[in-house]
Amino acid sequence: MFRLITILLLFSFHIAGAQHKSLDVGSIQQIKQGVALAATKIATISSDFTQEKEMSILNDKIITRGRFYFKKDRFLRWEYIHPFSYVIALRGDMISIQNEGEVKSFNTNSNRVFAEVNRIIIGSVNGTLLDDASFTADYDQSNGHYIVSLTPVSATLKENLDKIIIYFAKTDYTVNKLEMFESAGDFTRITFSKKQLNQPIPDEVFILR
Amino acid sequence: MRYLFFASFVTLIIFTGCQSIKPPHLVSVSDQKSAETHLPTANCLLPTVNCPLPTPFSALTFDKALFKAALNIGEHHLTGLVFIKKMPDSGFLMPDSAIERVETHPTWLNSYRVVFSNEFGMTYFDIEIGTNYFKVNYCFEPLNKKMLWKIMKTDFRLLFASEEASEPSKHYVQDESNFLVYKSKQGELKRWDLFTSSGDTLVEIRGNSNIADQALITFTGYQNKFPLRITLVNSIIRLQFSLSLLSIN
Repeated sequence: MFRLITILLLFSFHIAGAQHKSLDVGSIQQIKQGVALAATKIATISSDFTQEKEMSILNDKIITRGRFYFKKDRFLRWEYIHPFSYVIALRGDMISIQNEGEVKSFNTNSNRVFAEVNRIIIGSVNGTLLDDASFTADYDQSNGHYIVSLTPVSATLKENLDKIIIYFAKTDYTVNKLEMFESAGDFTRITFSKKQLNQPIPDEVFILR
Repeated sequence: MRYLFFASFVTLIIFTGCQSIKPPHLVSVSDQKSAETHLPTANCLLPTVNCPLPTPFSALTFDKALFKAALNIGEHHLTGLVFIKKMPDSGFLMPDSAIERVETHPTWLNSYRVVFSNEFGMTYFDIEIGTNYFKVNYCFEPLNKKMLWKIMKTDFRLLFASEEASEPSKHYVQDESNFLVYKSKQGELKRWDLFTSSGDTLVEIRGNSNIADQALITFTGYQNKFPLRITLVNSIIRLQFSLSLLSIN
């Protein structure tokens, strides 16, 4: 009975929250082309980000803030500024981490979590994630966003990740928001703000010493 | 030759494994007079009605705390954030020995939720611990090893479930450091709590139930009576879990 009530409650919340409009095949194709076209035009992105981790049951959030840099093709820098200092820089398959003044570098292939997170971030910037065989995609839209919900196919990925929802801005097809829902019930939302496109970013930004 | 190698290996395990977790250089004190001989500055070394036991970590006043964390196990290295939240009384079963102490330390009724996640927010583990209660709500698959959790359970029980412990059976002063040391039993665990000579600051907790789960927990850099850094070490499996305080409420 309790289970039935829970399912009904979840279902009613789902209906209440479903303000998005479903898309037809033509519109989906248009989104894919829009994201792919934007990816060819965007050489660099820099922005602020706010990351909120919501923990199930605890009714609490961990909020972190920082700067994000992307440079074509596979240069990425996550810089956490508040409440702690921590930098992850990616150059191709090499990843460097600056933590408490110490820099460690390793190959992304040696760390499954980093490999997946970076594939997701870079894949959503250049649009390749929408056709990634590791996920099935559902498309929706709201007033300002095209919303793509990605559900992992592989059992290994499903152990940790329930789904990822990417919010593409309708104006320029760049990512405004990313939500990662964990299998355990927790979820993390990353919101990008003060985005700057195609401003020069020196390669040194992606090198940690 | 093969037997010689085997004997050497066993001897090595015995010598390294049997290295006691008991704090070194302890001088036993049986009454206040002998205590004062060893540590004249101590106001009250043996707990009495007017001189209660020092406050254990789990009785410190906080609702939630956020730590920067690094977990090293052998060559494996994980970093991220640890969020600890004191949960309201969940009605966990209290051992008889703790009831009287709970009346003077009502916060001991609480349980704790401990969530360790990486910087991107993905959860490594989510546990809940209270008196005679320990539950792993979620664990990232590569960390989900029975043996590892048996050892980490000892760490977390020593840290968060001190109300399970009996009244100290022995009292010591540690030479040179002049730390006050209390020995007690916590279920099947042997437990040592080390406090500064003034008796108001917890410096270390040591404990174990067997060779494999020997735990050393250190508390350093106190600010407003709360440690800025907590380090859990299980030397046998080369585990070190370091927590640096970011915020507290």
